[in-house]
Amino acid sequence: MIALDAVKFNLETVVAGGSLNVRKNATEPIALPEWRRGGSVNFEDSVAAFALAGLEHATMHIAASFSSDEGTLRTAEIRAVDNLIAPPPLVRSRVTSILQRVSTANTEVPVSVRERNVPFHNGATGMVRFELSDPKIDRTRVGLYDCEWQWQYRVPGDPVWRRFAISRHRIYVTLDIPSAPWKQMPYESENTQLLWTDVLDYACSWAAGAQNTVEAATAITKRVNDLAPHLITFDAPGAGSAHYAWSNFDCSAFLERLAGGIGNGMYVNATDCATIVSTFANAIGCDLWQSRMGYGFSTNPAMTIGSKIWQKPALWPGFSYHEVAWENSCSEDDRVYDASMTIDGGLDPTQPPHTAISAAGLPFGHATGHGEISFRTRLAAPAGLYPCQAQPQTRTRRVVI
Amino acid sequence: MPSIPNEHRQYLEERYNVRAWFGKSRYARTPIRQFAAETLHLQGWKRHRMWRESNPPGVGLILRQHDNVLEQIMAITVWECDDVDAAHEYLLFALMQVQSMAIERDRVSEIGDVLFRLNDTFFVFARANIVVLVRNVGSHVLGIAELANTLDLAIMRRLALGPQASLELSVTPAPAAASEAETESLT
Repeated sequence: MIALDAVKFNLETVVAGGSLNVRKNATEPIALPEWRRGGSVNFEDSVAAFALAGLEHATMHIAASFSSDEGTLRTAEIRAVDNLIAPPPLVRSRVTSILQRVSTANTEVPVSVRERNVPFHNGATGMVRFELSDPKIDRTRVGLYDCEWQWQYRVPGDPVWRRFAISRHRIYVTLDIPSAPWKQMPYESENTQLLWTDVLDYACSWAAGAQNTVEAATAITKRVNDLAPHLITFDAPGAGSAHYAWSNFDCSAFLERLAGGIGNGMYVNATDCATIVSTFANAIGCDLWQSRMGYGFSTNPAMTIGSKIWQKPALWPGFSYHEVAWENSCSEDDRVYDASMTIDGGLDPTQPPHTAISAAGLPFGHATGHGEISFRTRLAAPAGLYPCQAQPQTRTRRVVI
Repeated sequence: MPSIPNEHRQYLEERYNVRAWFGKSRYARTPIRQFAAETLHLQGWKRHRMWRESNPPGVGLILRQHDNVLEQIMAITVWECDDVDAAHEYLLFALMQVQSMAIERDRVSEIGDVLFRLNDTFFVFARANIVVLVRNVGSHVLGIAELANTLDLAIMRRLALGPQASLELSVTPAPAAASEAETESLT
């Protein structure tokens, strides 16, 4: 009888190939191999992340180790097939031992881990490299995949594949290696800035299907805005103060909030939203910054996050500053992503009727850009256009804690 | 101490008339050491979470009044700076983290050496070398003026009595008279 002992996804812990160095969150590192017999039961017990840019046309590989209680076994052909899309039919029998061992000779089932010959030495194989070919994993888009694999073997001279193990894995596919604040090195349990899979759970889901960074950042901006009003809302009572990104990004508290807990409470401001959007987008390979504009400017009517009413934000006279997720050098011609408000994309943003547009992927714009659909002309009232200046020297990526 | 970009500092100094208050305190010669805000206990309130700030050192607390966790929740953060100048520099940094142009310095209230507030729902003040931020973080917005005042009195007690002064507080924040904008944002 063969047993699956371990499955390892992150084969190169240096920054190479498409596999990413990940940890679960600020306090929990992820040990390798990711799947271990007895210790890994659910999908989330065995997680791995791949970056599309690192894969390009290369083949995805995993490694697995096996053992056998039949000391005479010299070699076996081993593969894994998808056990969720098309589980191989059970062969019914009154003999339990046969039911357990007989699988199917059908070779048309979707193969997830391509078959190869595996040599056994004294009943063990050590880590053996396999080509990963899971048809469920789209290698062109961002995604999150729960894969259940049925491991099968056959011995020389026997055409019948026999199943011997089930393993479950959660695979994250990102666009590229993560940008700061996320790091890939050093790959050590003390490095809390290694990419968090607790963040990938949301980022890969929110940006699922995205094929480039603009699509991904736009999707994440909209999904963060959609968290209102139940999970977060604009901090009108607290003067629009930062609750999650006061200096560092309290990503742990925000994840607690996303999971329905208290976190740091329900209120957010623009700094919080800019930090959430850029940090989650950068986790999947975008390259955004948190950067400010200002200082001291009046605004057009807008709908702050959580609000359904067009008005000057919280009826205040204006913003001391505003902050967004911003591309490149965070200057006038660079695109911004703002989840903290919905702005007016109509002909005249100063008065009704208002045309709601998401402030995602718009160029920041120039003070003289009358009539253009830039973020600046939509956000700032005509009198506030000049003081609403890009402040690229504030460009930062807050550390996650 | 986090830095404030020059352009933003210029704006803040003018907007909040920093020259009028920076470095001024009756307690400049008696900085508080080891304020131990982690021992702060507010009767009737449960501590949900506590965290430590490092630069400057401080303690943050999330407090909830009932098990209905999303209703009445407050956040209190207390920073202990080296001296009054450092506290006022950090107060300026705190103002840098506030988007609204609606907050003003309160010269009438006796809370802190210098106090900024928004209505009855947001307070940030400095007393001696201590900076205190009190905010609502739950959906049921509370008036927190009395709480801010009680926290300030606790600091004053500490200034007068030293480390033996208790941080056991008794105050009942009441529902705030929410402004139109606040009410709308919560619906």
